[in-house]
Amino acid sequence: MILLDNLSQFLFSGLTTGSIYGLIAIGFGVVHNASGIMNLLQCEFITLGGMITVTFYAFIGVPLAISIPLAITTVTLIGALFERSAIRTARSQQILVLIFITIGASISVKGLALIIWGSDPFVLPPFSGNEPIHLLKATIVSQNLWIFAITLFVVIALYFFFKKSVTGKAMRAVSCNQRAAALSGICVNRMTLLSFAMSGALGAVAGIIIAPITTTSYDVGFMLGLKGFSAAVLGGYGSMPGAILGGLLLGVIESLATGLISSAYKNAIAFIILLLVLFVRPSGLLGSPEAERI
Amino acid sequence: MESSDLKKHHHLLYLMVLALAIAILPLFIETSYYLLVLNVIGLNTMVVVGLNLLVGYAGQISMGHAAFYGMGAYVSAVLTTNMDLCPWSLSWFPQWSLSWFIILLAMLLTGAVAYLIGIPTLRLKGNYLVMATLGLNIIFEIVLVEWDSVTGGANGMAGIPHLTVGGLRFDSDLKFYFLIWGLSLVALLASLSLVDSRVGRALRAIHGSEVAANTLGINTHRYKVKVFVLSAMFASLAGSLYAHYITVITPKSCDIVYSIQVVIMVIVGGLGSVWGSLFGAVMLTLLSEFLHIMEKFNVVAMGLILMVVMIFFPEGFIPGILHLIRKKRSPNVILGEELESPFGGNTL
Amino acid sequence: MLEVVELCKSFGGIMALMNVSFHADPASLTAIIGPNGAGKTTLLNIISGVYLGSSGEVLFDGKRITGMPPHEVAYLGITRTFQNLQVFHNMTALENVMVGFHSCTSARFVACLARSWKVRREERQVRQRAAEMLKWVNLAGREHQPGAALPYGDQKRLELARALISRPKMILLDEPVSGLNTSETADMAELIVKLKESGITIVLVEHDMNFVMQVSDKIVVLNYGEKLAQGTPFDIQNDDRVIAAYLGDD
Repeated sequence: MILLDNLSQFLFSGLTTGSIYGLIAIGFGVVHNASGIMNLLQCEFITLGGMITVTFYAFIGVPLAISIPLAITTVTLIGALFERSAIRTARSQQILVLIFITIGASISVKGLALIIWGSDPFVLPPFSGNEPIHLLKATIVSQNLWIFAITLFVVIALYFFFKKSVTGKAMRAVSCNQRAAALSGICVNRMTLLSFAMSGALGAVAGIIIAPITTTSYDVGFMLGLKGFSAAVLGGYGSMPGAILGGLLLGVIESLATGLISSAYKNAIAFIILLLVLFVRPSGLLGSPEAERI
Repeated sequence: MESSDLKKHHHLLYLMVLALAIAILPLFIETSYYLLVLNVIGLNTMVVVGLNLLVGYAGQISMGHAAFYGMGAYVSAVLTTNMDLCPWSLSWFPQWSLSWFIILLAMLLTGAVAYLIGIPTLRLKGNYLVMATLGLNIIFEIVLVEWDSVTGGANGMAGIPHLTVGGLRFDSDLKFYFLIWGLSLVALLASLSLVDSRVGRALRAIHGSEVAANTLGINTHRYKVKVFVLSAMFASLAGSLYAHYITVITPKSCDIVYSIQVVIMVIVGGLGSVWGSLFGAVMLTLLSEFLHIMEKFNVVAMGLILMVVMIFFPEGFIPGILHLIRKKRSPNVILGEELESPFGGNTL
Repeated sequence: MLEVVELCKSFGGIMALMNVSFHADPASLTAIIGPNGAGKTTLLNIISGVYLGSSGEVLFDGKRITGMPPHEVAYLGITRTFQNLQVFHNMTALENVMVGFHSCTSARFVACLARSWKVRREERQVRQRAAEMLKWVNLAGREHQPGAALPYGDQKRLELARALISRPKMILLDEPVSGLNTSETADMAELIVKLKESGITIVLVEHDMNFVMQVSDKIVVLNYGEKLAQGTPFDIQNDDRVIAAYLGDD
């Protein structure tokens, strides 16, 4: 059964990209929960993660194991800096104004990336070995396992952060009710700053771990980021389990549809799903419809 | 009462001055490059005026207007280059009128598409509306590239015929200049009439407070859809004209970048200002032509403009500057007044 | 005129209204009072169509209006004001009031684009009527100021003018005097009494007891989403349960 063999192959590759979408979706969700903003600069965090790692590793010659944390730190700082400089100084805190600011930042960073790194794609070496592994009639490379492991680690770490740590609890409080949180002594500004930093880190991780498989270039984050957003909406915008579920589901659907039907419209699938979800059930699979209050 | 009527006379006066300026401007222009730039400004004005009705007045947002521009352009291109496919080409209408009918047909088709899309999309708010329209634009782009038997794929289509009226052929920059700007003036006039009417007030009310508008008898959703359709049709018209003017069309001329560019024009010119739309189109088109030499910096500049304007002038660049000047002139305004963005809306 | 029958509303399991029934007679003033969170505004929101009730129904002139969208409710002749002001900040005072006339005018989208002769004539009439309305609420001379630039008390009266210009049969006022000082409250009370005398049915929500006792024909008391009592101002003032709900029962 060739079809069945392929099926497990599609499933694996779908889960791999799905994990990436999930990480990006969490990045969107974290910022949304803390500030209500849809941060489109998230796309560029992905690009920057990959490209800065490439810069350290290939251009400067820093070992990969050091380049990666360096890149993640840099992007985290960029995220924080963006919040501190652009978002917080904005004279109007209307959501749409803030979204436009993130769109503007995103375009500029993408343009700068093109100027700095050019339009050629770069490749990072896999984190360990290159030998393919045979599993359930599918052939996967070790990098897939790295992606699963890292995603799992990040999700567990975030789970404990939000459930156990004081800061994590404070962030959840802010997402429930900003004013009440501020009144009980939580510095909302700091939480927003932190959320941007976290989304920077998450985007960078996603961009780095996928780079050995798909290569990285100045515009890699655009599609990945928007698909990550679709995943977030599919799972339920702002919900962490939803982000992971939406990511994996989107990855698998995309991979199956590409493999079994046609690859021509591969990039359209995520957006068709996004529109369907928005039209039919905007709260997503795991989100709860918000009750409007007047 | 008088002052508002006066304002209307002012608008008419401005329009006449503008028309006069447009009429005599070509006398001072020798190179056709400048005419080309002016024509592009005219086309952008058409799109931006329509988009401003949606974004600036009704307070909705579309990051996918390039798709409607593209629909106009591609419907015109596909149908006029395959005239033999038209069943009605043998009718008693003169051959030249067909292209014009196709432009109208493209507008109607685009309007119909916008209507179908608008119904579910405009129930969404803020974040989601941005992404839904962005997603639509991306899907449209992909369809253009992949459906190459009809659209010519990534290479696009060439050999789109010039427009003609009887023996008059719109085949030079100058002839197109008058056509484009004539229609732009009509678009400006129609928008000015609309915003200062029952419908225009309803649109602004939706923006100001959707609940309040609704409880005063305004079917808010239907108005949003209508203005969405109208702005899509403006974009479609501009797209069709572009196709007949340049005679070549590629998916690149209606990609996301263009969608963002027209939104920036709206924002720079001023949200909720018909005249601002014109200024936004002029300034951004000129800037983009100026930066054309350093193409890579164009995108960076666009992004920076969007970011900086939104940070410091949430009501738009030109209104923001005017506000500052007025403040300097009469310093006795209330200090620390809350800056109202046109996106405002009383928070519920 | 207005009849509310066993209305219930829950927000995700929390009952905001439980089996609330009452009616309002034509040309009368019914006040709904109750401690914070009693469900008063929710009640107004359901009557005006902003919220969907969970069960029960609302009848207006014998016609069922439950589940109608707000704009259809407005066309039946019910308008309202808001507790947290919803003045259109992007319009002048005059334009704010002109929007209120929406349901009484008919200019269509395409006609407005072309600014037809009919549109222009209608426009003149609306403008004139809006100016008269502003005068009626003592805002003459403020026509061309941005709605949001008016002082708080003026904005309240602006909302009143906006809701009245369409000559509604019934008006819902959500806390019409909250945040007003004594003289502004007296002005508002005078306007509201004048309104009642002109034959408009009024249903209002208010915390200011002096004001409520002074203007109401009938008072409905809500507490935790349930109707606690109803009656004339005199009845309510002497009702033990009401006193207990307001002051605590121990």
